[in-house]
Amino acid sequence: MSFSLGQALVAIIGYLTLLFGVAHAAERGWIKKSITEHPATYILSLGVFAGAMATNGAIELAHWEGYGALTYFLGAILAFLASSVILFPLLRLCRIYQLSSLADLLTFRFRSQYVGAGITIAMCLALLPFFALQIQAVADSIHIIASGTGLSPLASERHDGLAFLFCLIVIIFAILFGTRNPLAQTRNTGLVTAIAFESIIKLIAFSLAAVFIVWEVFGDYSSFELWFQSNRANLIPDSTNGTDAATRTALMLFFASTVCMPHIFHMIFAENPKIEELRSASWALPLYLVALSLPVLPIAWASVATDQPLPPEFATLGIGVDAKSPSIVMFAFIATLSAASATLIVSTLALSNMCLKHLVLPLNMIPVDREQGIYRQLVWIRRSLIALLIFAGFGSFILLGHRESLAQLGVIAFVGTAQFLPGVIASLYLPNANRFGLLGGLTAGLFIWGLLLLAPLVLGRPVVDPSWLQSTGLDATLTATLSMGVNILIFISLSLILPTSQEERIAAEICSMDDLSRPARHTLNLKNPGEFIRNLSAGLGEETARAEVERAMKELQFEPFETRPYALRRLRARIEANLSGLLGPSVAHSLVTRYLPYTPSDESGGEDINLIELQLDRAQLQFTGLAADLNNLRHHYRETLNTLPIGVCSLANDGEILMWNESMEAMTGIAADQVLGSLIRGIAEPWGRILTQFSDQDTDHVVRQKVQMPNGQSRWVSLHKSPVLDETLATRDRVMVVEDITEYVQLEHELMHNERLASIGRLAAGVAHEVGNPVTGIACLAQNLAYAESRQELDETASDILKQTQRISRIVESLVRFSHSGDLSSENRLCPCNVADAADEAAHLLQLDPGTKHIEFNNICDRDLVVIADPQKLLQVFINLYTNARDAYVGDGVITTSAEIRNQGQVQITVEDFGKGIPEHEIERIFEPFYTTKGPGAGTGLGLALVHTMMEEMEGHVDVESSHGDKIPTGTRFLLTLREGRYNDTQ
Amino acid sequence: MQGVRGLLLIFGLLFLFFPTLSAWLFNADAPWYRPHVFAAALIVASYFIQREKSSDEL
Repeated sequence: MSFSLGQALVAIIGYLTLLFGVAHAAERGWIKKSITEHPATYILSLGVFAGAMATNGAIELAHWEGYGALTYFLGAILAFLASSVILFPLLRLCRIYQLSSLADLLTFRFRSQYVGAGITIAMCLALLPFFALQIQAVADSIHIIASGTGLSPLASERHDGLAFLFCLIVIIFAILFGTRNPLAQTRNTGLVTAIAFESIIKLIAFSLAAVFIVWEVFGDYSSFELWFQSNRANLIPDSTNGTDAATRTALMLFFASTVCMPHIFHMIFAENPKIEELRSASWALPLYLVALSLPVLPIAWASVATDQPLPPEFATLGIGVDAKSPSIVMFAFIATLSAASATLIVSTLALSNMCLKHLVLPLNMIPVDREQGIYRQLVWIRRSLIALLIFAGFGSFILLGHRESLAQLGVIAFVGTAQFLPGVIASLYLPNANRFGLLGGLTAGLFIWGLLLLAPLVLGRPVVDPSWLQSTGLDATLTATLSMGVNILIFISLSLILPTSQEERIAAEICSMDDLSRPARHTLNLKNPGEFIRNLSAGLGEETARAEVERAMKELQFEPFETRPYALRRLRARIEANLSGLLGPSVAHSLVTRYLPYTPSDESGGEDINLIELQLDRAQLQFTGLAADLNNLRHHYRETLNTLPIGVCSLANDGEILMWNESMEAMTGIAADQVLGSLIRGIAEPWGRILTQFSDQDTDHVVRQKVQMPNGQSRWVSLHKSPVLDETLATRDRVMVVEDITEYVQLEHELMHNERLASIGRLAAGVAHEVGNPVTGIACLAQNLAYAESRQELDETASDILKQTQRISRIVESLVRFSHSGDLSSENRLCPCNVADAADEAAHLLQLDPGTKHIEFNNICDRDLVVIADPQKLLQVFINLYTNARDAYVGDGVITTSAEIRNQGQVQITVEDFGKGIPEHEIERIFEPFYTTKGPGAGTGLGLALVHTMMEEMEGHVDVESSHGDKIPTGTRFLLTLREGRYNDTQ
Repeated sequence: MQGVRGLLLIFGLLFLFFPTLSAWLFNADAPWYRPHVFAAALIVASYFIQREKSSDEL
């Protein structure tokens, strides 16, 4: 039984058309999203790992090594089971920094475009045998089913034309469904769905082929079991014959290939929609691979049982042709075709991406369309590269001329790609690894691989004398071990010897699993997203620049008018990450450095605390053990600060706000999200001005600061600040505490008012007496008027009455002035006040009090001396001080008031008495509210406290000097300091 | 290296006991698919271990 060439051709075209249909239907949305976006679709698309090596090469391995063939599947199974060691950390990096290939990852980590170029060239070299493997599997299968012969195909008889046609169809498919979107971070739905479809077809076809083969060759399953038991010794090599080492090496190779092969890397990371799906894949894909590995051994053993004449890698077809079973032939061919085409398509896509980003773009030879941008050019270059790579694969297939079996080609490719594994592991776990080590190790490893495996493959003869090789005991297994061993040794040695750049250290921190990146807080020259677009237009074209900036803004959920430095830094980082997905990390980095530069004068800039917090909050669930405890502690302190009933705001050296707690939010009405990362001077008035002034001034405390809120209300705050020092005791940040004392101030003002009323009450008796005397006088004078005998007497009496009424008016005026409802709680009315007049007024008022009759007020102030003060408060200050001075005398006494101009426009007013003085231990407490030494009912204890408060409100201060006890003379002197003023000054 | 210690321990044990394990897997009396069953069991165990972990990694 055989198929004609035409039928084979129809089968190929039919199958690939079906594949096109599936991809197209998925792209168009004809297949439901619940299917295309189902986790199973992503998981099945990872079945791309199992190429022709699984359906053909593994059978060959099983033929020679029995169970050893399973290492091919087991390596991948282990890589996925251990996904939390390598795959998850890689996925984290790839998603955040838009890395879509191994070259992207290593360029990002080792910060050199030479690394990217080197990795890409090496990967192309390592993958040529792999491409040849896929093409050869399809080409030889076509030849076998077309010729219907069990004889080994000769090169001259091969249908290379059909192989070429297969390549052409693969090129068209890859271009149509793999390059539609230039943005690497967008999932290619059509491609993923088609590859998942191929995985299903591959598994079903391969399994059915095995079932038919067992049925055809052995009759039934029990006969197969019986045959296996009786031939077991021949089928399975002796495990004591050094196969353990070979098995371990093979496991390592296939494990490495799962991580490093570009097509698997592409499907795992670039096409991953969300992280949960990789978590599901970590157990579901191994199950798929176990299922795919089940047919391998029965087919290989059936090949031995039938002694079919074809090479073991084509055993499935050979048995089908031998048994003239169209079902077996058809299933075998479909399994090979689906496996090879999927692998070839995705490998080419991934490799073209690498070539574009790391070989073509760094050459900087693509002209930028200033208006249309670069998307279009990128798509066309990528398409050309896909074609070029598949043609190169076809060329290598022709060049190799069928000299090697599929498994041999596969092993050579796997040993080549395994050389990248040390770089991948070092990226995650070795912060000291550097680019010299990576490139040195890779060059050495690939040199050994090239010398012992690739060169003999290309040249068709060994480069190193086989007898010498044999004498050293080197075989394929040892070649892999040797090349990897030398690679790792040189990698580590060079990394230790040669210096690691600062950029590499930062990237190592970002890549390291244990560390969060600690981004520096640099200052950008740019002030808003519009400037980003303008600058980037020079490198990307206006349309692309605008699209990239808007995309980054949307991803970060920033408003279009964002100007916060922190937000702009994040925008810059996001644009670099997005451009990395488009152009590769090295080109993206150089573009961003060139067009979105940081301020050159900026020094270290400190750490970006807000970003670190954000990362920690996101990564919280990853922490375990001590790290989790520390993180909980951080949360505890953070929450304590955040919920503190007092405003806390922390500033970096350049004035960037690093913290803004809930009390600050409540007090200012400004949400933390709006101001974190802003400059303090940029926040809304009046807080921006007040906090900036306080931040800049030398004093660390402002006891009372009035804030005029936008709604017209007044608030009072007290401000305190303190530097936060780093290890070198240099000021790193500043923390400011803002206390809302509005209620306290209002209470204080009420007290002041009450005290004033109390003063009026105390004066009331004196006033009554003072008013009573002239009234009595007036009454007498009025009575005398009746007896006036002359006009002159009348005039004199009237004049006396007028004098008495003037005296009453003066008393009443003084009282009214003092009790004037001028609300002390209202804001200061600082204006020029004459000191002597204010002192006189106070003395006059107090003299109304009968208790003050024996006191002489001696006012020796310069009559022209003017200070800046609130007249009401100044009067109250004098009254309170005079009252205290009066009370200090037992009998008669003199209270002297003097004033003099001191330095810097300050006026010092002295109120002095020679009473009993204040004991030293009481001096410290006299300004405390409710502290009094007078007897019960004699004083409220608020007088001097109010003097202190009012002097501060008038921007002055009060001091006291006193002699008490044995010292002579005894007495107290209050020193009031106020600013000098002039009558044309206003505040 | 957080969260992977258990996994590394399992891998270390597998490596140490690889000869014994392979002798048992490929025992003369064993059915031919015993390695497959073992791999499937390993996968199921891994599924239950990983299910307990949080899904929010990024």
